[in-house]
Amino acid sequence: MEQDRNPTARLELLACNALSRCYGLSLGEADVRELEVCREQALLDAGRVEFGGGVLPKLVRAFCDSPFLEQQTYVQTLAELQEAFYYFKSESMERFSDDELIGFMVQIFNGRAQGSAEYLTGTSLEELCRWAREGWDPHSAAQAEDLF
Amino acid sequence: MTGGLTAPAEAPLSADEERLLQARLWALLGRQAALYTMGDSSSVPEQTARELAASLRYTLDKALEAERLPERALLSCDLAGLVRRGQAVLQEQTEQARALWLCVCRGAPEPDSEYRRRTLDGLGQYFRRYDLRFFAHRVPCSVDYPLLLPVPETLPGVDWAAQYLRQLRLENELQRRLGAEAVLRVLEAVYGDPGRDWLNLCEQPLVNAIGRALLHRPAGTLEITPADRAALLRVLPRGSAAQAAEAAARAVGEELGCTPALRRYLASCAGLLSPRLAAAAEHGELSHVFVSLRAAPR
Repeated sequence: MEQDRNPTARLELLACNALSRCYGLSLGEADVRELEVCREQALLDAGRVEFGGGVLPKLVRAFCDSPFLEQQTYVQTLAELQEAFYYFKSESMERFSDDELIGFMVQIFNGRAQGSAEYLTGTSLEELCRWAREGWDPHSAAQAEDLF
Repeated sequence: MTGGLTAPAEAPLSADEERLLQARLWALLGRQAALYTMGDSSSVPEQTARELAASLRYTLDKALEAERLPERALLSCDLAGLVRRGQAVLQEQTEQARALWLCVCRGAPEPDSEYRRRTLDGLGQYFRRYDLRFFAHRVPCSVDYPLLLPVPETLPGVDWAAQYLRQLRLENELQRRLGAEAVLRVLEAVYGDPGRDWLNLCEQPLVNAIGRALLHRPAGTLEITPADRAALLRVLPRGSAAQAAEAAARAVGEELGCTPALRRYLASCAGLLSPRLAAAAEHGELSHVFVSLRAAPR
């Protein structure tokens, strides 16, 4: 099914700059267009169809205060987080709402994954949910597992 | 359709109109997806999106048909309102189909079959679970009992279920008119010991009745002896088994006092039998078409 490239979605994402700038992060017009292309590919890969503005504004709002995000890698990280989101969304068989899933991802990204989107995407849905529920203590060697 | 009149052909949509229609339907689908996920998710699996779209299209078509609106109306009218009106039409048709289901359940003649019973149970569940809001196009998934004539797979949703039930009611009427004892004996001859796991209950009894009609005999016991088969080989006109079978089916319909609808149904069934009949006649072997009954128990 063909989807419209939605100008409203673009504006919504650009409007998120007002919040993310507080953390030194912002997106330009070209970044937004690049993320749109990534979104289409991620949806295609996950076998999903999206309506409205997409999940990126939610991801920006949820992740922008992460100490691991930097302006230089911001677009790439957002693209990876977006891809991971759609993957987990499909894997979860619709059992979690967008907000719940993003909540799990934020916990893992800022905790166990220590800001590595690659680590997050390599996590299985089961691990994601379990680890998010368990929480993460950076001083506990037992929980460090494969990270250190 | 009104009194067989054909509506003037609608001019096809222009490319711009087609784009507009797609955009309007896309927005409607987005709204429907939001209702389906209750706002929890901005995306749905592709399969779900396809199903929601098929359901919307079916519902819109119901409204267009009921209000005699052309397809072009989708370009300008309030689509959400049209969906609601389509759902009201579907609700009414579902209630009618459910009433028909009850009628068929109560009137199922003996002998019964496990498959027919299971199918009617499955249809009952279908009506209980039918989700005309999001999945109106879905057809029953547990229909084990094959009819003499298959219901077209192109029929969606409750239309399919209603058509199946209309045909089943006709077949039940035929079974009743052929007589329980005669039908039972034919089924036992075909399937062996009575296990009640018979497929179609009317097929072989009807074929035997047609065979007897070809010999200008009443359906009666439905018996076809080896001598009858030899006689059938002589009377079956070469190259025109189809017409002969249809004429015989009409004769069966008249003899049994069938309703006009059942007579038309029998004629269509005879059309399906004719290739089998023609092939068997050509090879001079009718025993797999017309079966002989077992000796009656003393």
